[in-house]
Amino acid sequence: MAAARRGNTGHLWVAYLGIWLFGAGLLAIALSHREHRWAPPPAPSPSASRPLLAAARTRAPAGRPLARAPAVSAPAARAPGLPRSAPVAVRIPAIGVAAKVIPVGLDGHGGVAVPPLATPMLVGWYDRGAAPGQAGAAVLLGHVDSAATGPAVFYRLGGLTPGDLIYVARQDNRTAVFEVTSVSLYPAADFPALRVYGLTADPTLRLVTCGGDFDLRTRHYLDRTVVFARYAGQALRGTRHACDAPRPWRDSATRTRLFPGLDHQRPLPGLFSDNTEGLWPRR
Amino acid sequence: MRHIRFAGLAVALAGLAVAVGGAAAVAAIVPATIGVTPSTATAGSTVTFSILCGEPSGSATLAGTVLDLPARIPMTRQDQAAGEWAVSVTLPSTLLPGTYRPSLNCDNGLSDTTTLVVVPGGAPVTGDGTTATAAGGQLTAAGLSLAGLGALLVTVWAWRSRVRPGSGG
Repeated sequence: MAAARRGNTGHLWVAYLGIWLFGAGLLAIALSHREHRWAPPPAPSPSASRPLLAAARTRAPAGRPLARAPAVSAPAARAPGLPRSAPVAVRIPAIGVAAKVIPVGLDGHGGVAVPPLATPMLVGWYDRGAAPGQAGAAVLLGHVDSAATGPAVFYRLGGLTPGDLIYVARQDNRTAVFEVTSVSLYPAADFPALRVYGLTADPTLRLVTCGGDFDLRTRHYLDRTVVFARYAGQALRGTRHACDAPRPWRDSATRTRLFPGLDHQRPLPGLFSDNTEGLWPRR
Repeated sequence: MRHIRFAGLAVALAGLAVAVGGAAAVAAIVPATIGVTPSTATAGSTVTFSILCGEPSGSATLAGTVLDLPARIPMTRQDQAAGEWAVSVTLPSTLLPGTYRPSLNCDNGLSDTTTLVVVPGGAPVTGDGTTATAAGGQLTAAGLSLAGLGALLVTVWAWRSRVRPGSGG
């Protein structure tokens, strides 16, 4: 009896250690859950990047009908594009983006600056490249996430598919419409700068955000999501556009599906509300 | 009078080149009446400017000031086409990324600008990892293994303390 009791108490530290480890494990899981309340941003599907090659090889004729036809004036065949004018707002109905656009330049290290993380719902326009609608490549940059909001303005960029439409309001009161041709993920270390920023004969648009895995040591994303789009023409005045339609996630079911983990009692400014209303041309 | 005729010819050729360039996937490869190859470059790389001045043309220059190069860079006569001039220049490695429109000037009065894009380096930093896959994943895995180890230890202890009295008595 005494031997048995000694045996029990002799190994009691194992039980204590076990209980302690179990508790610590549960705590770590709980912490990680709090840390990781967001679903990862959608990654471009392989089929979304495939048309890129086809698009690069055979340029679509200027008058080709759009996959999802809005009312646009087809770009002129000979002199493509609009005069230079800074973009002020962008709407991407397919992923519910409606954001103000600010000009950004260089970051001092030869790279492109981005809007501050403190304003994660702003989109930056690289103002040393073409303006949206002007011949050449126009580049818009947005954050994928930020500690302040969780998902940021381009959180769902990787979910775009070829044929989706992008509307850009410009300072000259014109709306340039673009059609997505491909969506790809590139390693940050091998970022295709020539392809993204490079001169194009026609007006093109590129949307860039972070993607892929996050390196906890460097605090940087390892990949970049790039959306390539071609100019479809100007939005015609007096017609209804998809960009006029109500945001697709006004209902809570859609919100929960798109942003699992979001605190819907405390909606984030700019994520569900459209504060670009006054920036679009009057119809 | 001849100057005007050649200028007219050059303009017609320019129109043709624009049409041809528009039809091809990469316009920069097609020799145009005025152009730069490649039309997209990184700072520090070498690009070739060319212009078709027509005949007669005794010289042509590249106005390099906008590219942080000498103001008048003489171009050399090319054999491929009558009155075609070209010059290869190495862009300064300190040249800022952006869109540049240097002008090419023929001594017969023909002059035009061509567009060169110097691309920025590196990938823009767009996000702080709040929603990233890896951010919580590693902590979850660590938590699971800790909890698993703890449960194992408790089980071993419970098993031993049940078996011990029997084997001892």
